[in-house]
Amino acid sequence: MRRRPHTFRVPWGVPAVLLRVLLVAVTAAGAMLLVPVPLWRGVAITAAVVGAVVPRSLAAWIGGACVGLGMLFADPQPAQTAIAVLVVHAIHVLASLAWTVPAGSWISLRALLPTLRRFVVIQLVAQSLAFGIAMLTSPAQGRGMAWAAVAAAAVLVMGAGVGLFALRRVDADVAAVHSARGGRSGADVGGPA
Amino acid sequence: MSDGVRTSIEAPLRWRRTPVTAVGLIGAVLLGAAGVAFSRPDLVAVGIPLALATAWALARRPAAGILHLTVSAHRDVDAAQTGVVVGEMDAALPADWVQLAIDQGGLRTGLADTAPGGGALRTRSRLRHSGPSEIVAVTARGVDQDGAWVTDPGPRTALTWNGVPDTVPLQQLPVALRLTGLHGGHEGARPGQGGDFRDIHPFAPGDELRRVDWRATARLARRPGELLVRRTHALSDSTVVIAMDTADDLGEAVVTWGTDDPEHSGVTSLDLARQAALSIATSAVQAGDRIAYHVLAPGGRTVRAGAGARQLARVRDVIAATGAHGAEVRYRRAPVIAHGSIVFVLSTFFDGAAAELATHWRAAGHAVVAVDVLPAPHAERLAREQLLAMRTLLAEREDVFAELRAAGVDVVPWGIGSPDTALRVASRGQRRLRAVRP
Repeated sequence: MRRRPHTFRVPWGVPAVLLRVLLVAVTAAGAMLLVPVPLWRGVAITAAVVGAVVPRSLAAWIGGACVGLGMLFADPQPAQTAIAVLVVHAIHVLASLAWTVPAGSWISLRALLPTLRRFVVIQLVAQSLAFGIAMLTSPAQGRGMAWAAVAAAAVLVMGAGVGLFALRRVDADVAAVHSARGGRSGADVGGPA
Repeated sequence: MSDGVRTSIEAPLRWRRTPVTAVGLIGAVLLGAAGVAFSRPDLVAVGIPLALATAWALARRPAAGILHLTVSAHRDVDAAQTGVVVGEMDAALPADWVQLAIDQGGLRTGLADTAPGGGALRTRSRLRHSGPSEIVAVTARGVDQDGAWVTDPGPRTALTWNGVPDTVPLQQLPVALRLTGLHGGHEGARPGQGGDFRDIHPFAPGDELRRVDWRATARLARRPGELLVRRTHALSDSTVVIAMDTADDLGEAVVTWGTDDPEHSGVTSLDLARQAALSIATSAVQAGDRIAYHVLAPGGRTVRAGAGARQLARVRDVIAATGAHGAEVRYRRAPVIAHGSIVFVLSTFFDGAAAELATHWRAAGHAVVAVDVLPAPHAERLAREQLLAMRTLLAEREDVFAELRAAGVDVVPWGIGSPDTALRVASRGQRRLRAVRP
């Protein structure tokens, strides 16, 4: 067999297709643990597979939504909630990576360290909030908190509005403020060309 | 070629948002709305990390910056075989990671996502050919916030490696028909010092007294006081002009002629031409001769005549950087050849333009050697028509060689047999010609 004349090596590199395999595995594990209805499990896993093969289809997020919404078929439990917070976030991160990193690429593990750091920080905050919500809304303490639903709806609407505004502002600002100008280099004294 | 080459670029980054942020926002709102609608606070909690990730991506958007990409390569001294080149890429930019598209040998070999910094990627290439080749080319873009932000791809950064050909030891080179100069390693035609016996001549003003041959004077002097001196030939140098025709780069595998397939072409005519040029130059410098180098393509490089190790190093670098010029023109530039030079024309002699030049130079009185650099052709996988066409071309080439020989040009095949033997035969022929010159 002829050896390939050209090769390259990424230090601490792994095939990027592993990220997609991990996406399917996490979605499948989440579906099996959190979703009691077999049809929803099947939809979640199928969507994850489609999302792993064609990330631009956004099907991976559909799989994540199936896992999250599938919890409606079971009674709420703090452990299940903690797992769901972990799994749905992991699906979001893995789907984002699958969107950006081509399957044939080699990705350095060092490059994933900022991702891992962000994931841990967000999980610490989200798990704490989830635990607090679970405590506040437990059957023992949750009575008489009907106002919380109205407050949550208001916060939700406000959050969505702020999010949309932020997206639009970012899109408007990004070209003007957050990119260096190309073209001329060196000192520009404004003299005749 | 030096042991290492390096190139670097700086390009401004232009960040743009991917749909990841919007999808995260939609997911968070969807889960939150479902939680509110179905009175399930646990669903609201599941949406929190998506909301936090989206907020983080929007709040910590990457700042403007400059992509610094450096690509370097050096010879792999540890490799068991020669011709192995190791490349390394350093990428610096304010981002989580850099996405690289890697081309090696002109073809896309893969993609890599690496952390910014030194040693982001290492490449290894086994060179099949000497001469210039694009050893690695990289296109980079930055990625930040788990893919929520990406930059546009930067400019393609290519690194060209000029592979130095190996050399064939040549014992003897033919020299110019008319040697000039009063120093060098070859016996000239003029009287002087350093060479073999030339003749016995009556003493004339300017002759050194120690040159007086007393025996010859005693035997041959006709008048009293007449002295006879013993004269010797001067030692002269030869100027070796190497003219390389870069119109064709044809490999051993005839089936690859007309295609750009360096991986399957085998040894090519330009490989042999570069090897021949460097071998001739090395041998000439070792013999104390001057060398000049011309690429016959329009706009081709020229190295003026000179001698010594530094001239050889200069010529070696230019030979290593000589590639096919690619233009489909029959025109070849005709460099001016100094009087008393021997010209080696390196070509495949397919279109006759190089042969025409060789004939003109011979007609002008220069010694000319036509070096045929076409490798022994392999006719595998050729259709009958292609086989016929190949035989016709080779037959036409034989006609060209017959005409060259008739014009007094020595023809030396470089790819078939021993070029050293062929050059020795040519050298003997040149010596004979010099001996019968008036």
